[in-house]
Amino acid sequence: MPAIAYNGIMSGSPIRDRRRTVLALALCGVVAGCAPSLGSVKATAGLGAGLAAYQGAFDLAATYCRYASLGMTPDPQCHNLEVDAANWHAVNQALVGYATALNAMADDSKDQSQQTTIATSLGATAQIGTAWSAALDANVTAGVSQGVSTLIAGITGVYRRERLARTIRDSAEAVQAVVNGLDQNIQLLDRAEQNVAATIADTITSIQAGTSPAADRLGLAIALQGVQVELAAHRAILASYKAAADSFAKAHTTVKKGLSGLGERQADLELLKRISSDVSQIVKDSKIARTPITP
Amino acid sequence: MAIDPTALQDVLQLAQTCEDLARGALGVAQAQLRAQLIPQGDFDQAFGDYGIAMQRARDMYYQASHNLAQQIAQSADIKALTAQIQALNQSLAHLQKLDHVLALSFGVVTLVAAITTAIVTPGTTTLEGAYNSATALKTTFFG
Repeated sequence: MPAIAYNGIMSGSPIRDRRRTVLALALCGVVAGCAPSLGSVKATAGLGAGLAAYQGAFDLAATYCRYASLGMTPDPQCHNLEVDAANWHAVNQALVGYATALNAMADDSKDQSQQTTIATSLGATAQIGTAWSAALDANVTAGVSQGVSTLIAGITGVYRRERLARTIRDSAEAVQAVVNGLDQNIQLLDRAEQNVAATIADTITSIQAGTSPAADRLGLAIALQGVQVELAAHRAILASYKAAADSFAKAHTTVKKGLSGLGERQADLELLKRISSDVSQIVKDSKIARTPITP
Repeated sequence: MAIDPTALQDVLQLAQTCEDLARGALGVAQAQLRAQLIPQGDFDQAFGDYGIAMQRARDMYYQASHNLAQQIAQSADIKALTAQIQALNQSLAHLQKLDHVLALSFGVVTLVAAITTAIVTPGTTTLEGAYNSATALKTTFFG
């Protein structure tokens, strides 16, 4: 009875090794792209999944709204902002959920796992009769199991790529529209927070210009500057949220444009390079775009 | 789902003009207070007006944000994304099943070959082999 090779790991003669390789390649050639490389989709999905960190990014808008209306009549808009937070959570969750589903579909790392199973089946079969055993020696078993495993991975890989291509094409408009909505809200809330920050800055200068005691003027200025720091930190979060959402949308568009190359290593590498260069540019732009408060 | 870009620009511009005017007027009042051209009471009045104007400007942003939040949650785009998530998850489940079926089909082919061999060359060894093959297949796929 021949020894059974599991996972195709077995030393043999160079001729047998070549036979095994040729057999594997022949089976591999049946389907296109037997080792599907879906790196660009995974990279895009990774950018989308990163939006999970910004789930509550708009939550503090209501708090900052109240900061500036404490001394006057409470602003009814602050309550609206509080209620809206749930909607924004749902919007962010939709993008993150979509990215997670893309990532799961692009993850082909487990598609090669049938090799041991097939080798086991072949091994059991090889126990029968001399003729069958002779045909299925250890190296052929390893070659066949590897080849069939690659074939199965190839079929599932093609399915993954086709499914992803359809999804990415069909969702492109929705992703862009939702990200545009997020961008606009970030722009509006950032401007509102700039307004609060300007109000605080003007309050400080007004206190300084007034006739109140020096200790009051200093104390109030210190307290208000603490709020300014908090606002600046939140504006930085909004800026990174915008950069993260824009990077995801841009990468999604890039992958959509390169759908024909999905699964082809060279095209995938090119897409990855473009995605990474777009992300760094967007991050750079978002830093430049942050408007400082005019004193 | 997003605000019409022109409408958004209008809101931003209008609010900005409102802020610029309010801050300009406050600047004048502060200069007059420093030069003691107006009493503190008059400055407080100017400061109150400034606060109201700044809040009006802020409310323009907040109102636009509120409208956007109301519309986006109900938008066709969010529904489309949710549908895509569900469809992808279903496809993934289908793919896992397909992967399993393909491997199972191959196992069945090898089992059939084993049984054929046992029939062509009958004997204890070949029958035992076919039985072993069937058992291995059963164990492999069904545990």
